[in-house]
Order: sequence, then C-alpha cells, then structure tokens
Amino acid sequence: MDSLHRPGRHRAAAGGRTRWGRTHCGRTRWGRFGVILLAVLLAAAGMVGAAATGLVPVALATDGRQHVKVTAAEFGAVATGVFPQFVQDADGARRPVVVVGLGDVRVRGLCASGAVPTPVGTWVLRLDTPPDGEQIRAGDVQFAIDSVDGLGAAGQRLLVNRQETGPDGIPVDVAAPGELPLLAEGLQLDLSATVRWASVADLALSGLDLTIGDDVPECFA
Amino acid sequence: MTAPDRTRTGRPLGAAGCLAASGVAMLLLPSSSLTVVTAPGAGGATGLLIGALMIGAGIVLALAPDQRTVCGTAGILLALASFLTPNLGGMLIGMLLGLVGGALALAWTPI
Repeated sequence: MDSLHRPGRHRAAAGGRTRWGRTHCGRTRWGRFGVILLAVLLAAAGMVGAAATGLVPVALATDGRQHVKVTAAEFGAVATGVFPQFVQDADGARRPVVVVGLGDVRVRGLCASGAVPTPVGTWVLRLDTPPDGEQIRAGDVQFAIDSVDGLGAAGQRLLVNRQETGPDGIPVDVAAPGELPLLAEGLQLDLSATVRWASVADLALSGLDLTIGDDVPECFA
Repeated sequence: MTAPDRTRTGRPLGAAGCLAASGVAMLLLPSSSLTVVTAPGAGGATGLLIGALMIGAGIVLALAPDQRTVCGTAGILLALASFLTPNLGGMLIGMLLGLVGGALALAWTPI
C-alpha cells in the first residue's frame, strides 16, 4: 500500500492539497537523485558521443541572421528540388525565398565557423572534421535563399549528373527522375548569400571537432 | 532539537520547475538572437512538440504529485530525445534541465 494512503501518514502541508483533495508531503531522496542523475547523464553523454562519431543521426536547423563561413575538401549531393516559398518577418511582412533541397549529402574535410558578438567580445564557434577522415552524411538538407549577393568559384572538378561512366567512357545517367547528382572536389566557392533558414536532417557526424572561444580563428578571413 | 528538513515540501516543485523550465528553454532558446531554430517541417515541429510536452509534464507533476514516476520517466526520455531535434535539446540547456527535473521527480517520495 502506498504510504500516502495510510491513516495517520498524511501531513497537512501548506500548498500540499492536490486538485483531487488529497494532501501530500514529501521529500527528495538525494541519494536516489544522485544515482538516477548519474545514470541519465551517462546515457546523455553516450548519446552526444554517438552523435559526434556518426552513430546517431541528428538534425540541425538555423534561421535568422548568421554569418557562417564554410569550406569543404570534398562535397557530393543529389539536388532534389528548387522551389519558391515565402517566409514571414517579425513585422508580418512576407518575403519570397528560393528553397534548395539536397539529398544524400556527403562532405569530407568540413570547416564551418560563425562569429557571434557577445557583451564580452566576439566569440567564434568552429566545427572541423579531418580532411582524410570519414565523410559527414546528411539525408536531407534544405536552405531558403533570400538573395545571392556575390558568387565566385574556382575549382579542380565539378560534376553535374556525371558520377558514373560506362566502360567506354560514356556518362551513364543514374539519377532518378527529379534528381540531379552533384560532385565537387577541390572546389573553392566564395558565396555571399542571405539564407533565411536552413535545416539538416538525418545528419551523421564523424570525427567532429568543436571549438569555441574568442581566440579561435574562422575558417577563412 | 533537530534542524528543520528544508527538502520536505508539499509538492515536488523543484522537479516540476526544472521540467517546465526545460520545455521553455527548448521553445525559446532557438528563437534567441544567437541562433534561431524554427525550421519548417517535421524536424522543427518535433522540437516544439517536445518542449510543449516537457512543460505539460511539469504542470502535471505540480498538480498531481502521484504521477511523479510517469512525469519523471517521460521527462527523462523526452530530454534525451530532444537532443536529436533541430535545436539540440534547447542548445543542451533544456536537455540538462529536463534530465535534472526528471531525476528530481523520480527521487521525490511522499512521507
């Protein structure tokens, strides 16, 4: 029997009467709390570690005004669509954007950094993966472009819908209808654009190195 | 004469507060000026749903302490699941608050 229901065990504590009329008085067993908290923190740490090593996929999304600098040694994806959409500002105004969807994204040697001004100075959050390490994979990436302010490109290899070739060297179209395979290697892309929102789903990280500090350099100047 | 037991309260308000604060963090931290995580689609809605459920668990726990096991277990599971949502469990702050709140709820016993 629950001790709560034993005669004489009730205590009339201030504010302890529930909406169903029963009274409660209780205490926290700190030893039990410590054991439970330790167990769940271990589980959480395992989950974070599994996400950082790519065992557990996570989802990321961002919106607003962020200046993020991204470089990658190798990038591959399947373009799944480009379609117009509207976003609504805080003042209620609707702005048209172009949503770009990418599937089966594979990135190697990623560096992404963003500087955040704070009252104690500008802090930089930087994500790195080793250029010779495992690929980062994402099942679905979408971002809404408000405007493209500048674009410059110089690279060694850019393949659009030409990832496979036959024995005679003739490209084989392996893309499903509505998809466009992209592969870039050694491509330097200087893109300045206003992105209203971005989302990443089914993200499998691998060997991620996260550094935060006011003396951390950005990926490029 | 013994010192009064300051941990003895009528309701697990600390646990309920942590759970509710966890939900608020999951809902509001993404909308901060640092990073906004209000992505459209199921991914973004999942984070909002978990935040709302955490607040609900805190309210239920405060109103019905008998449900502390259910609320505590749900809080812990939701907090762990929130890490997989777009805002990483309210930038991890909401997730940690949820874990602490869930553990407090499970550790609270009536006397």
